[in-house]
Amino acid sequence: MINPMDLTGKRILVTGASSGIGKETAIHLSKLGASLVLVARNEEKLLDTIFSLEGTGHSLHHFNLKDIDNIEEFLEEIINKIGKLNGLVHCAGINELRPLGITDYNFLHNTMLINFYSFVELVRVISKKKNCAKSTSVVVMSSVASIKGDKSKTAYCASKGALDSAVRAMAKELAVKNIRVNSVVAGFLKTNMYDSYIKELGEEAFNENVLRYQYLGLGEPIDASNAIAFLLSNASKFITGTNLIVDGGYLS
Amino acid sequence: MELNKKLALIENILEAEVGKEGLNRDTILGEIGDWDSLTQLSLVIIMKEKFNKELTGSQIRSMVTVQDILDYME
Repeated sequence: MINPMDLTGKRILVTGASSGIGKETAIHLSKLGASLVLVARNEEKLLDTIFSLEGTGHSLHHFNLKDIDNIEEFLEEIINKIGKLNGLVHCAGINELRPLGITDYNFLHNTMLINFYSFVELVRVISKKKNCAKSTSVVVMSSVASIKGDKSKTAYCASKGALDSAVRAMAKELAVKNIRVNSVVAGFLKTNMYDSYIKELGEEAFNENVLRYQYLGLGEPIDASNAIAFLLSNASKFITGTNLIVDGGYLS
Repeated sequence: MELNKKLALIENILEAEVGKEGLNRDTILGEIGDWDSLTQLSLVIIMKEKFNKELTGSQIRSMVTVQDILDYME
């Protein structure tokens, strides 16, 4: 029997690995045979993730990705120690609701820093020949917010739109290095982002605004993790520069 | 924060059209500006950032006058 999504021997860096999709994805990738390099801000929660991993050869690193200027030094130190990377999964991201009337530059910049700028910097560094293996796959978590707008989401929607556009440009530029770049456009999944939606706007609003359109129901983090694993694996070796929609029908 | 600054902040969040006299404590929220879900979300965020107060949905829904907001601006 073969497993087309086998990741045995692949060294994959996952950001935002302490919770939500990042955590679920790290665990899932370890079950598929990957060695994980986990990065997150929260030390305690990150430990929780690493204890849930299968297999060996994993490492964890505390780093605040907002510290853009130090990402290169941070990554190269890790890569010097453990070897070149085969993949990057950028799950770190924030989704704070904020009406346009109080969406000032500082708020916008803060959202872009973690959701977008840190991703570009990670790819810039990892795509250097000395840092990536001969065949490398980059996957970033995007959202239906990239395509469909909503009240109070100017910053978030713009940051995800930026990611989906950047993926196309990067894919073309990095193809010569045999690096593929794709995003996963997720619908609403049961994560703490869902929990805060319910807390702030209520279940009734969620049913009315989301489940009415997302007719397969509320997704789970594993639904995104499976799409990510696919895009990391050789099963997707002919796929690059695309935004893979995993949304329970929301955008259809 | 001084009272007139608090009132200016509320006036700004509500985009209240109040003329020269400005807001006073007894002004009914729904009568002078937009007191809708987006305005309420803005108030929640401002209260957290500037006053370190976490407002709940029911606290927001029970607010009727400007004084009801001022009560939380300590």
